[in-house]
Amino acid sequence: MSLTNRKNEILMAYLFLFPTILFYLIFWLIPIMFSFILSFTEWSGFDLSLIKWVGIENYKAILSRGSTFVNPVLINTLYFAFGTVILSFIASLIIAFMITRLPFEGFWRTLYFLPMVTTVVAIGNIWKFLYDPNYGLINGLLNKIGIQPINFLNDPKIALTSIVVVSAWASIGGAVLILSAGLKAIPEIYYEAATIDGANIFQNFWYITLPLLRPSMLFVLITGLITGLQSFTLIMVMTTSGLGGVGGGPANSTNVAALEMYNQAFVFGSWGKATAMSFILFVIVFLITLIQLYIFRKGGVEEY
Amino acid sequence: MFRLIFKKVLAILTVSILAVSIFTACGSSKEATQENSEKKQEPVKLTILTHYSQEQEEALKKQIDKWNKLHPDIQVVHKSVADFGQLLPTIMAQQTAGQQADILHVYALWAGQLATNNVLAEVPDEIVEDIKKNYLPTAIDTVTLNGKILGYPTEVETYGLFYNKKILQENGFNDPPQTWDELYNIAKKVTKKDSAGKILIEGFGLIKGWDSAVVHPYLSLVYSAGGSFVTDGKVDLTSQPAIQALEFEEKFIRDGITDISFDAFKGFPDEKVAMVINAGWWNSSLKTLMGENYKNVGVAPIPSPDGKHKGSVSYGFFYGVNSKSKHKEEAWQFLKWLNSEPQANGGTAEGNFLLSLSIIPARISDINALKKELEEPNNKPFIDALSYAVPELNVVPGQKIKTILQNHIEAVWTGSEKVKDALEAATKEINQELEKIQIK
Repeated sequence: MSLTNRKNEILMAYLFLFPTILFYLIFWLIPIMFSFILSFTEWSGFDLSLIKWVGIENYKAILSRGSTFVNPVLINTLYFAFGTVILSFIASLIIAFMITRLPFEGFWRTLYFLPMVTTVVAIGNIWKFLYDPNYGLINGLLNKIGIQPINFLNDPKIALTSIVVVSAWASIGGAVLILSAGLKAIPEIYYEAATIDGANIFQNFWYITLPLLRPSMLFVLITGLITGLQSFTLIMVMTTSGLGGVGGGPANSTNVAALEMYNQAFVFGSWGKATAMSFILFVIVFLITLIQLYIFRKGGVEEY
Repeated sequence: MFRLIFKKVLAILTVSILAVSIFTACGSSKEATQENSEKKQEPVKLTILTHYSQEQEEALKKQIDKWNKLHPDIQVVHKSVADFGQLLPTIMAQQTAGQQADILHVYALWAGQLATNNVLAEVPDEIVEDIKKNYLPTAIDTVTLNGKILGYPTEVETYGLFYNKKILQENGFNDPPQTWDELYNIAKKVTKKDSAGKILIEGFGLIKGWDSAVVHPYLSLVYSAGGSFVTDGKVDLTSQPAIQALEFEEKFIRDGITDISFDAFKGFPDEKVAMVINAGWWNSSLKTLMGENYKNVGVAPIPSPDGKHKGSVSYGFFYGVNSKSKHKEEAWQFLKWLNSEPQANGGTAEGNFLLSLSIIPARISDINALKKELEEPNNKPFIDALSYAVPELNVVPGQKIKTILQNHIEAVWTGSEKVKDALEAATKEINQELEKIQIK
């Protein structure tokens, strides 16, 4: 290939990429840059001419001792994300393992995938009703067997855990789909060989399934954690009265980072703090993802 | 070779068309604006942004239609966000994007936030005079920031004790409570539970998760005990009345008279809650929700420790003109008509609109002209409270201060904080917020 032809190819490639680059520039890179600049300012969201440069003050205030962003917001966020991922991962691994061995596998997969196609707002509202201490189905059933109503969403000690259960339930479907595809990719011959050597079902699972499933597990865990750390809608729907004020109650017990960012920006008019929080959350998500990548760096069918 | 060149030309054309279409889409709005400004013959179009629901919107539209008929040169278009929680974010987004409404109907709590960000235009002197002369002092205080009136007050709400006459009478109480002791004793007597301990009738309801319903009844109790919230620009919730009021609320929960998981906001219209402190606007909702059974609803002033003191919070909404509006003069003209010009029955268009929603107007001439219609026993405590109610704090971090207090009150209700610790922490955090605006 001559040099001119090579240059033409490169030029053509850039021309083809131009609309995509433009799209990402307008809707991705510029907003990120703008948000990053905003995190060093004080701006109330109304008038761009009133932006005031404050340096690292927002970061200092957010990370200072006694800051509500660190405790309880960040702690709640980590609890919510890890809680959701651990619960949904364990449940989906068991379900995926079972349904790949059951007849009508497609039916079961569809059944577990259904919550994934339901909007989060609908899920939140339905579970809010199910959890209601006076009119809810769960407490109604508990009442029938003589158990006192549980304040799922009103007791600060259990409110966040109650939402974690909903979040885990809602995300099982996607994880089941990915893990069952990963399970099907493991050649049956490995299990047959292990069984001939006397391995039982648990040994098969521990020594064959888990190591070979690493790439699928990594994907489920990373995407699950990232989604969990950025979670907003479900908590907003399940903890807001709809009459006024902010979500994340009672007494801040369910307030997570994304909700706090929304409140800081759109309710309290502190855009600088809200964007600074978003960059702190980005660093946390980035570090957690790196750790996960390190832990799960090996594995998969190709390795063996 | 020809096919290759053709393919390349086609590809370049496709890419160019895509790029051009993006640029033209961006540019077309500019051209449209230029075109619009050239159409000088067309009537001035004013937009008015509110949070009214569809039903309320219909009632307001009737008044706007009247204006539009009378003033073909200034046409007003109503836009509603319907969800109150989205009103402030919508104003923010529209303001930054240059798509702002000419007239804003806003919650007075945001007055500081809106005024410091130059969202609101100066109120003309003649309108300031009209407001000073013709509105109730509580209404004027609600829309005043640093001595400056920001717009026309519309609804001004005060708090009272809603009680179910039927439940009280069935338990031998013919009159509502006047003192805190009476409130506690009546509530204790009327509370009913099933064998599993589930509340069937709640004596006294506390509404959680909604900032106004948590903070305002508490502060009303503080005021009724002779306390205050802000003195000389500083908050002190460690005073005896402030502690007493929260301990009083906590006592109901501790003694099983109030269950904060019980939704008192739904339970009262279902006649499962005997008494709740709430704002006057609730009357209209209860009428709709309860139908015939509304006859069982009574309203009394908020009880005080000695039965003599009176206390209530007041909060309100107001109409302001957007500082970025190109038609400020016309906007004020419309607002002046809406809020001050008497209609056939003597009340203003706004007064009649508020009355249609069973909301007490803030303009004295409206209260006088619509006296007959407002003369309902359940309105009286709210009208009376207008003379002693303390307006909600409308400084820049008003919403933040309210949220801080809500979180600490709820922490006490749910047993995760002790009364004194919660009030000390709230005082410290709120004063930190107030100091920030003083430093600026």
